[in-house]
Amino acid sequence: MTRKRKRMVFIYVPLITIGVIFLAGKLYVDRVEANAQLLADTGQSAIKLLGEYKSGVENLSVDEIVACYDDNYSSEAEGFWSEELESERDGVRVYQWRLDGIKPFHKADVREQVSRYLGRVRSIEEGKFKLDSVEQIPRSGQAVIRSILWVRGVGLDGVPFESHALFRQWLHAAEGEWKIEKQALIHGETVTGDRAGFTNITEKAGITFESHQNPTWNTPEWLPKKFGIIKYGQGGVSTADYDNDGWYDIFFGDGSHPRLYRNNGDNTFTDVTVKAGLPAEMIGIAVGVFADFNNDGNKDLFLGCSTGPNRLYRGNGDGTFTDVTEGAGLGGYLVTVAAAGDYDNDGKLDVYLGRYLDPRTKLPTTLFYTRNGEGNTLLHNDGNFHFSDVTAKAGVREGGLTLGVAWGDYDNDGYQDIYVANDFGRNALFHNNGDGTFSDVSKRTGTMDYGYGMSATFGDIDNDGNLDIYVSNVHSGQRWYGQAATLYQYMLTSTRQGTILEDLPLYKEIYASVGADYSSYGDRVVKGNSLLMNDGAGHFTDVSESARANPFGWYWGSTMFDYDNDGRQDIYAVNGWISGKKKDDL
Amino acid sequence: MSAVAHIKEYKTGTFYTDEFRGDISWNGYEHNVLLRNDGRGPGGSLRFTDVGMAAGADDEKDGRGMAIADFDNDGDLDIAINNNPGDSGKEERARATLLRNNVGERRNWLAVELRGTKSNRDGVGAVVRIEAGGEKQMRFVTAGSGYASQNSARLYFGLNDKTQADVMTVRWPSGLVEKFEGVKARQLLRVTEGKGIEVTTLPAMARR
Repeated sequence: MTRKRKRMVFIYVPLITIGVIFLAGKLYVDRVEANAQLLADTGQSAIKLLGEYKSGVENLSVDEIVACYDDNYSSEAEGFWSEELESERDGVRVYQWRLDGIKPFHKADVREQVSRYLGRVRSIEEGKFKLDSVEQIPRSGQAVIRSILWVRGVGLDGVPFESHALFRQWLHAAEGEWKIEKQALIHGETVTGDRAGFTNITEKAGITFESHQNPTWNTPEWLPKKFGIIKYGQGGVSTADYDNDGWYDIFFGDGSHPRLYRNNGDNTFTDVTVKAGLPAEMIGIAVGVFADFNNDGNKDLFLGCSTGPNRLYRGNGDGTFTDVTEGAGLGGYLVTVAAAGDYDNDGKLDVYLGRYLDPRTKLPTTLFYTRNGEGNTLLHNDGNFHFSDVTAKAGVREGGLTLGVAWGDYDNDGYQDIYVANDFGRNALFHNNGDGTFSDVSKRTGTMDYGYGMSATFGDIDNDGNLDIYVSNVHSGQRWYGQAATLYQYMLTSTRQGTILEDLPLYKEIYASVGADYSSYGDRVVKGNSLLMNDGAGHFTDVSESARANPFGWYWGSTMFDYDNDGRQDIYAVNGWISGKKKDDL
Repeated sequence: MSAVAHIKEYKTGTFYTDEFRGDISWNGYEHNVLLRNDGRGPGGSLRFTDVGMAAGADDEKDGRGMAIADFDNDGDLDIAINNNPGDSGKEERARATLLRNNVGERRNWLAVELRGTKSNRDGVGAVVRIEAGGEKQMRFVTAGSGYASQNSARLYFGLNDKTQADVMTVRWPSGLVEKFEGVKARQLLRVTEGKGIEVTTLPAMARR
């Protein structure tokens, strides 16, 4: 080989290598983009088709609904279903949709089925037909989806009804028009009732409370240039018998005017905020916790604040409170939630504070996994209304955007553990080691629960003696498929925007926890509320899907309680994010 | 629409502004759910039914925190909800919701109040277990849970048609375990750590 040729090799080999890498990279990037685009387009097409279906339901139009089905519709594993009465109690009837037998099903049968269903309906109040997930895209123009039908109206018998059904549907596009070519009912139910189980007595009871946004968010220093939506976050409700008269009172957290209502013991309440010695106006107090911090028999009141210092009021025993904030050591700003528990069993109640990110300077790092919160705080009660920040020593600085904290002894070892629900990411379970420290056992126990966690509660929902966990989340495949498409696309865009370096550690964390399921991670974050069942041996399993405990929606406060005293704990979950001037949604 | 239409906006914060959303809602006007626990089905797994509409507990404001307590001392748990003003411009949507439970009182129940002596006075963290007709249940005392909220520290057990809890145990944070037998339904039990039990009734409604 000549000297000259050697030099040529030195020049060309690296050049070719770079070229090949570049080309491979380009091909990979193109594929990621094409996949994401295909998923998004398919999702959008499905959403459009389901929207047309929904309109047909709302218009009580068999024709409009049947138009969503392909002329060659054919399903060999379907049949007519009917509503079979499953239970009747407390003025509520539940009907399950049962298949009457399998037969080859064609478009005419679909028409017959739809006619039967709508034939029992007097009027439709509202319908929804939402995309739950895109399960498969065999090729462009074809998709297998799961969809959620939700209908409420009044039957011919004048009784209000609501139907909830989950379908698997095979869609395809013919000349640009997407149609259903096959469908299978996964489960469906219709619930009717007299709507008399609960009575809204707000006004009659004299509860005049109206919530307000925190005005600080609109001041120049705090104007959340980055995460503006934080202003829709508050507030909570705390109930305690603060004056020891045997009647439970109510405290409403608020952006500017938190209120304490005393229960008069006659189905009415009186606003006693000022009379009780609390300021008429308090900015950013979204959460209050009644607890007897000095064990004198009177409830004290801890107030967590978003845009200012937290506060502490001592209960005087005569229905009034005294401000003991000064020097109490109550932790930092941006508190969203708080709960008291005695982590070291010293007989004095400590406080765990959940915090969010600083909206002045930060955004959730990624849409689906975020750890740039201000960090939660554990305050140890030293007595005499003094607290010490023991977060670092205890190992409970949770960096997620916390919207739910719950104490509970999940392993029955006599020490209170902590569960944390985080917005934009994963949750955390901290096991109390009994020596003043905690261990993050989220992964080991199966409690990471990826999603938009907005509240958490412990409770034994299956009466097996172990505490289970209910977490409220977002259930909306529509948003994911309509906007974010795939995780790889998101990463690619971050690379182009130059923010990937900030995100990389998060992707590494996601991979470490979900491994091979990495690419389907997106499905998890919008799968809705989670019911994590404790097996008593240190592991939890999310059964929300099979238990039908993850309805479509956007859930905040939630709790377990046995409302009908039948011996089984039920669940209440508060639903809805931002109602705009128009009712139209995505 | 491009698959990546909104990703830039997530990173700049534009997505989270009112201007970006405009007049439309973002999962707004949605109904709260009441998921009735129907126990284990034939397949052995738990099943819930959303009876929110049917039971009249399906408020559709933009709720945030919620708490449960027996506000009328009739033996069942009522619901209080704090609703966010949202962006509808309608003042009434900012009002709170108080839902009185008319169902639970039809069945038997037990209410338990705890007072710690060695443990914290509120008994937070104390676990109460009952056994009634072979069926077991547990509750524990909390001071904060859900979203920014706090439920009743007085614990409620539903007994259905059973007239008593055969056994009730209390495990205090101090480690003390106390056992009581043959506790009749529809009563309020006040347990003071290490000092026994007072069996009483819920305070009666005053006449107005």
